[in-house]
Amino acid sequence: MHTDIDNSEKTSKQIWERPWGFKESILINLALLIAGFVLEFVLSEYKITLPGWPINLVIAIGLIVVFWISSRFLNKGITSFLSSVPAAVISISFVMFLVLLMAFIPQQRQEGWIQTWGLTHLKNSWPYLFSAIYLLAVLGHTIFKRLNKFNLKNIAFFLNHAGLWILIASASLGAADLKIFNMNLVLDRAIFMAEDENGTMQQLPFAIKLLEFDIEEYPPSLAIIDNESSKIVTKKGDKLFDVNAGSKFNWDAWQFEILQYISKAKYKDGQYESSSIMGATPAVEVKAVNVNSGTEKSGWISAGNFMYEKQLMPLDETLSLAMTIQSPKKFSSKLRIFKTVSEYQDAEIIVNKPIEAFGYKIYQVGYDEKMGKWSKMSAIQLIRDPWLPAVYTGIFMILAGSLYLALTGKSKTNKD
Amino acid sequence: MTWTSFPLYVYLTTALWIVGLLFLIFVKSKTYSWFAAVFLVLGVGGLACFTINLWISLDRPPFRTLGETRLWYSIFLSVIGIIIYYRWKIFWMLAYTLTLAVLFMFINIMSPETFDKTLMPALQSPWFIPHVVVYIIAYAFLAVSSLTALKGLVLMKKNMDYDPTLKLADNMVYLGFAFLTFGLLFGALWAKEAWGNYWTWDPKETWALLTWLVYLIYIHLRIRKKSNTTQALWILTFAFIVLLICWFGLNYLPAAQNSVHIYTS
Repeated sequence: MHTDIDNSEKTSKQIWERPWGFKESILINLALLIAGFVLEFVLSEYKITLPGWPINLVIAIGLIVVFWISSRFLNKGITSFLSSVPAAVISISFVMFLVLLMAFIPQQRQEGWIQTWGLTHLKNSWPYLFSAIYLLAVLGHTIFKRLNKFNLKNIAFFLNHAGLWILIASASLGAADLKIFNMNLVLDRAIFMAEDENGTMQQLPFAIKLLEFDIEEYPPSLAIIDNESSKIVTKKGDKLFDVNAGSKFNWDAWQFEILQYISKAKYKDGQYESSSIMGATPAVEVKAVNVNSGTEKSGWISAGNFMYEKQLMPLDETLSLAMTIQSPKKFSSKLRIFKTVSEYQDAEIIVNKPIEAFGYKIYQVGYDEKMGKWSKMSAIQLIRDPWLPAVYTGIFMILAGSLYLALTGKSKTNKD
Repeated sequence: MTWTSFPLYVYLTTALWIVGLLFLIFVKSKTYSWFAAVFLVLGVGGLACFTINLWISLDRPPFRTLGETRLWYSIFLSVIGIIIYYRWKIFWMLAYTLTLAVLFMFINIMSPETFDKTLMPALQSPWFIPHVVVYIIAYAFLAVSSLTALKGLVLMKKNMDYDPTLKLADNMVYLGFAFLTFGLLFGALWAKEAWGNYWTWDPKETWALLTWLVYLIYIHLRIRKKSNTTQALWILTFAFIVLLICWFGLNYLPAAQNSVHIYTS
């Protein structure tokens, strides 16, 4: 693949003597890294903002043109270096070094040197910008070099490398055109103001009304808990106990039987009864018998919610039988989206199933968790990402290229 | 079926595999090597049986907890080992993958997990299964590649021919890397549908990218014929450590506790 340039590299070569190899590559990247961090330190109060449409498109095309011209007409020594293995390996290592820093340093504002040197906002820093541009240059030169001898065998190579170029370039440059709005919809009210990423309220060109908010929950279970820590002590690997009426289960010397299960109940005078009022909670009536001591108890158990206290069944000083809090299985919102008062469309959004309206994708994000299934609020997010088709093009090119790699392995892709 | 019946399956599978391996060691005749295959495959079948039953009784794909991923890993790893043995006759690879699979199953027996049927809404997506499965396959291939790298280093030290070993390592990396790429990009496509962003620098994403980059470096180093082979092999061994941090280590990182990728326990 790159062997034509590698063969001529001599061990006795002076540094910066052509052709450049690993030493030069490392020095170039170190220089970029240091320059990046120094810039970050000097301009620490200046935040990098990438230009939006259409300047970002001009930049993307400009980069392609510059790399093409340079790969054709620039000094052969430099261009063949930029498409060599040492350039590739070290530029990837450069990116990896920055990602490694990101993995260990929390990326949020902190005071002190860690902030002034840009270590808390690496994805928006000069070193990151330099590494991205350098990586694009190396990728670009490698692609153009291979295009000269383009044949069927090189297709996988092209898909992987050009796909990555398109992915990095469009994801980075497109970020400036990304618009994200958050809205907390309240039942039956049309809202046209939304909060942007900086927390400022903005007016949307349309209004959204929440018609209905629905939530499905998993049935609750029963478990033995430790009175002090409230932690489940039921043996691991076992199922939690079902709440269905008639079911029986044992734990140590205890035998339990569910006498009644009410999925929606209200509490009244020490009893639970079926009800559909707001705040109704699941409740079970349980009989417990200890076969060793002969102790017998029965009573109600409930997980509790914003309306009702939780209700446990104490077995002894240390243990109790308790109901687990229900977790959501599915939640969805029915929306009416108004362009004008008379012109509107209805749609339903579910997690993992956003809808599209007026150039925005609308996502179901959350609800009032304290109110649970009685929530009258639905949190949604509106996202406009005009560069997405370009990002997806890159992603699908890489997927196709990887498929080829998986099918042929190294031996076939590497023969030339 | 719950995890309580798991040990039974593990003992059965382990016994079948041991019989298969002993067959291959002591019975040299070619005709009987297929007899061993029956035991090896039956062993995998036992595990698969447990997994399918678990899936049915959970009412959701068993991919949500670390233990559930270890279960899949054991299956894929053993399948890869068996295929490699019957395709290329590499016995040590078979022994290694089966041992590793048994080790992972015993970890599950030692630290059993709560049987939990719930699955948060964000995980209820057609992407869930392909995303996790391709990752587990990638991890299995890359585990094999790292061991091959270690063997290469030993052979090199002994001044023995390490070329075929290197070729095997490269092929495992190419396969594993392709699946790693699928996993990463499937994750991005899924995230866009679920949260509206294909990349959010979630700690798991950061570590997955790091893993991908290390293997990318190895692949590029190996393209160059005169590259330092020892160095490349050490990188390949080290790469697996990054992978393991991404897979297990993250659960213990305080910074990662809000990640959607933390396995529940």
